[in-house]
Amino acid sequence: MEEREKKWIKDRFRRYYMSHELRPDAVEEREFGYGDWEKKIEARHLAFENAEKLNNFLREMAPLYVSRSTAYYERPGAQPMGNKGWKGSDLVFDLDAEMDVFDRAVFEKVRGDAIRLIEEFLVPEFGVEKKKISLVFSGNRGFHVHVFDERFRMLGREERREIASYLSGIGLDYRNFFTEDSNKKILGPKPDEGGYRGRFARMVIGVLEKEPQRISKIFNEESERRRFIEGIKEGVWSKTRMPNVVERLSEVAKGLPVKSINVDVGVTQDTSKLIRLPGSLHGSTGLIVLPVKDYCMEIEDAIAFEKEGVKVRLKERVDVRIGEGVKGEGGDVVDVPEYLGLYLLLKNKAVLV
Amino acid sequence: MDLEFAAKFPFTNEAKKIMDEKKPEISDGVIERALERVRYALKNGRVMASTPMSAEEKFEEILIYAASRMILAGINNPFLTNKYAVAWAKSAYERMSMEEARRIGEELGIKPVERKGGLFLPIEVYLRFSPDDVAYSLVNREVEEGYVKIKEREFLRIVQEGIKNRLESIPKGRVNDERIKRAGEVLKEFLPKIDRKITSAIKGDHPPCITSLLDQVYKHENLGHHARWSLSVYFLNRGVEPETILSLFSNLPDFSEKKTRYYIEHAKKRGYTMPSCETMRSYGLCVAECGIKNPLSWGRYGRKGKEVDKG
Repeated sequence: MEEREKKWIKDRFRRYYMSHELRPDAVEEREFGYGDWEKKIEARHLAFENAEKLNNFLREMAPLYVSRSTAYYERPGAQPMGNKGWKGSDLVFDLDAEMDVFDRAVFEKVRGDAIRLIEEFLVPEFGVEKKKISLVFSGNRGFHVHVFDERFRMLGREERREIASYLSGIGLDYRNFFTEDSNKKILGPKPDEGGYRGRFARMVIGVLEKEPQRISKIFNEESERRRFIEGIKEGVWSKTRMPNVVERLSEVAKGLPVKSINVDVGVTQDTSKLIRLPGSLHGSTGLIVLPVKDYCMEIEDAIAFEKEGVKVRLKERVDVRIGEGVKGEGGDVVDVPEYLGLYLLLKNKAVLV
Repeated sequence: MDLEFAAKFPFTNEAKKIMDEKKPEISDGVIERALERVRYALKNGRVMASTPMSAEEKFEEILIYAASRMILAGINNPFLTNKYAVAWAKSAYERMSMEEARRIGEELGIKPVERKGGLFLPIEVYLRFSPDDVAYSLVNREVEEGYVKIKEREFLRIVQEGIKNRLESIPKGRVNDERIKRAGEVLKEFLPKIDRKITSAIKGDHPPCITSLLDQVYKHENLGHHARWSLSVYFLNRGVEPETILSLFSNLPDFSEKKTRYYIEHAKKRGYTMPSCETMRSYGLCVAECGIKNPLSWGRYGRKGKEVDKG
């Protein structure tokens, strides 16, 4: 990128920080890091006594990327890590999608996954109150879910990895749900149980009620089906004439992983992770790292710059559908609003004219 | 004060309270018996059974235990401390009733609750103390409203894990008593010898993740499942014999020959491939940015060994 382009971008970032005041939580206990053209994190171990000092820093430096620790420290600026005095970390989840440029369908899918993470796992199973959960648009391709719940603060790496594995369904094998007692009675999950066990029992009952032949033709018979379902409700899975019950359910079990959530294990398990600072700008898009209210969000909500237009020359064919949107072939010179100009430049899809 | 309980479980706060109150002198006889107990435990993987009758004998049990910990503090070796911890935890599991387990659990912060006619643990407690075993894997459990359902036997097993964790930390404070220091010297015979045969078979240039794991093995630290697995598969792929890998793992405090042999042979038979760097990273085992995609490519493609940005 040319120097004048870099300057043009930095000017816009600075303007943003000049006109916005960030109020991050527990600012004095967090470690900060920032990055520019070379790396997303060029420097870390920064500490700010209060929000004002942080804002002053952002106005002066206008960095492309700003992150803060998920951890709380006694001395966030101390080095090396061991001297910071770790006081625990929020539980965080990173949900990312593969996309070159913004794709509304993919974005919606990730947003849906993030909501499922909250509504099907964190609240009912982990017992987290909604007010302790914050959903944040990452500024680029996905969402971050921050959990500010003291119960999880002191968890170590291993325990956090186990949580991420659970959500992603790693090691999930429905056969482990079943045991046989001495009377050849097959004991398994009940539909009112929590976790994947209950999910599986509910899935099987659902299939039996709607398309029983997927498991076996004999369940087309009302009485046979009723008897099997009644058994499952008590956790007894052998109330049927069908042989090899557990094996026959493998078809239904294939749907189980669909219920899990693909979170980045590396992010969740890292207790000294630096994560994009909510309210800051993302240096790969120029969009706001935006806390989402009531889980509802359009990508346009994350637009930081509106008014003026700018002329850019496209480097390749593009079709970016954010706000007004821009479409064109390589070599085209187009007049776009600043937010799209920034987006194209940062994504290396265009040059300033 | 419950002397009975304290003598049976001398690692509890109850026992410590009794000790703190009496502030007893530690006689040569007690040191000798403590040393004998530690040696027994290191050899057998269980602590010696003893049935103190009188109050005096019961008190002595606590004293012997305290002396055994001082001996370990004096020698300050994680292998010996961890092995002794494992032995105590296993023996405690075998001898404790549900009632006693609840009492010990309470001290350790492992407090079950009754819900819907079953036993549950808060999820954060469960995650911290559940053993490294598929059966305890969260995906196979009932998880609801922040609790995980457990059976009574599993509760005992989880308390066992809690006891092990507590005893694995080497008691703090400097030991000045020469007699205790000398007693500790004797225990060095229990330290596994780093075999020449092993060192020559596995020597060579290994990527930073493997080197770091080897360091931990030589320091007799406990390794997690993924770490052991990755080490085994790595050396199998480098053509090291299963027997050699087995003797390497004998350095770990909780080494079980049967289990380890099974895993290594299983890995060899199935020809498991080495986890990629990406997978190693997700296991938390990656320690550097080498610019390679698989630890086995080390030496062929990359060896920049830039320290990883821990962010």
